[in-house]
Amino acid sequence: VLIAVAGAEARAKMSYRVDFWVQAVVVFAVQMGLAWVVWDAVFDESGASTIAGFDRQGIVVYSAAALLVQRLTLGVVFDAGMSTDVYEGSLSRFLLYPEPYPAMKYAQQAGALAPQLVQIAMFGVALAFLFPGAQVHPSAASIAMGLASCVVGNLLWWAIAFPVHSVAFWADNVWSLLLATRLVSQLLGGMLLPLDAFPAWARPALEVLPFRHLFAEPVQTMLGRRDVAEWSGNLAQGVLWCGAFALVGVWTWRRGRLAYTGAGAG
Amino acid sequence: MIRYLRLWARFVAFSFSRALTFRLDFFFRVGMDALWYAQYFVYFAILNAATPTLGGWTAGEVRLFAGSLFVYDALQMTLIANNMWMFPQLVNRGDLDYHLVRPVSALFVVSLRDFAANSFLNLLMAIGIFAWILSGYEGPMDAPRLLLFAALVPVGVFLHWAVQMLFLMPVFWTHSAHGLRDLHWSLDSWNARPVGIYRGWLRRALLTLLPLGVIVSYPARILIEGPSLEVPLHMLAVAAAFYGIVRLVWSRGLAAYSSASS
Repeated sequence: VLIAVAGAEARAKMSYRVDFWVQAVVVFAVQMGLAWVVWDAVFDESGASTIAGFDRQGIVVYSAAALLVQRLTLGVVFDAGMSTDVYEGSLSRFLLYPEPYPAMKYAQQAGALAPQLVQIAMFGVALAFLFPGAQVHPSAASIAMGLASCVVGNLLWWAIAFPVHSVAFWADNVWSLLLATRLVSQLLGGMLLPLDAFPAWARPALEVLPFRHLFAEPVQTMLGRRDVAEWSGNLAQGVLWCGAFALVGVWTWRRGRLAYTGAGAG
Repeated sequence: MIRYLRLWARFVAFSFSRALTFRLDFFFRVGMDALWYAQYFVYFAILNAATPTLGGWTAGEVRLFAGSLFVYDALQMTLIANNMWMFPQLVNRGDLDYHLVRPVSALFVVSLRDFAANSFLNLLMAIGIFAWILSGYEGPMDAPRLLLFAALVPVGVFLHWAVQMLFLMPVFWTHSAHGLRDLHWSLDSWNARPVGIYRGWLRRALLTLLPLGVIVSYPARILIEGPSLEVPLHMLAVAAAFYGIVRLVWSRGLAAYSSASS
């Protein structure tokens, strides 16, 4: 049932072709172009040959890869979240289904990632041609390991966002809360800047926090900057964080269901 | 003019009473904006640790730019962001009809009806952060710079509104503003970087055709480089040109608008 749900969502998302191409090409080009311009200016004005362990082209590749990985790990946060179902009352429908609601929603958002997967494949190849001189060394194995990290990253974001969505049982709007969670994750997870660019005193804290498993680890792994031992250790940490947030999610879900009345009811 | 100001005052009063009904969301949004400021502050601090200047501006000047960005963003979030979010839905659902029959400009109502009371609190916070940055700024600072800056920030907000409207108004013909709205959000981050980092044709384009490089950087230039005639004239000329284009596209859009029920 869950695979069928994911498949249906994937077909639905792929049918919006204009949105797909605007998202795939134009939005990505705009975001990557900005990263390129910023890092170009930083390298020019500092005269440095490497920053945060990357050369000029390498850091642009990192930024572009982080943008692509973000689409895969964060997925569709706002449209397919539980808060929408709570506000619209459509949660009632899901509660009648034989499959657990969180599993159904996860399958739905996993299916919605189909366009992002196509975009990663398209631009991943394009990046290799655009920056042949970058000092990063992706290989088939590193990309496969990186994709596994993306799966864990996606699950982790789902586990982080689920309790935040659950606040919808008690509050009238959680959009700001979700956006705040995303802002923190992007900054502390290596989406805006490589984590090695942070001051030395901040890095141990960033290592401990869960956010690097959302962006930095999948990207560094894909770019061939993690060996198998480092990767597997990081993957295990990511899975542990998923478990920790899942426990919080289960607790909020159980409490929230008691408060749920369904739109129009009560 | 007085009539429009009184109408806007009613919008503000109504928005405050509505915002205080949803108190939890009120504070969530305040917290979200505070985190946005923190994100940019840390971002620029890290970039400035890697380079002595960014776009030709020193760390202190970039901090001043960041402060200007926060004030501008809080203003646009307070005055227009909610309205821009709702505009495509007004067109798609036919709710624009209600505004078209009112005896005031529909463009005025559509653009300024929803005053975000919660973001107003952030505006006060942004002004506080700006004042704190200003107090630690080591370069020259005087009243003419501050006055001209204060006059140009609203022009930047106006320009931001005009650019955003141009991205949203195709909804009159396409019936979906999803892709273009995403594109505008992405492009909007280009105005959150000092204009000096853009060079050549890109810089020229960002100062004229798509004036994102003008919106925040030009008021900040006044603070950093001192008052000049070039900056305000450039901003006013671009703002006037874009307002003319918005009016033109708006009237064409209304001609194409058929309401949801027809």
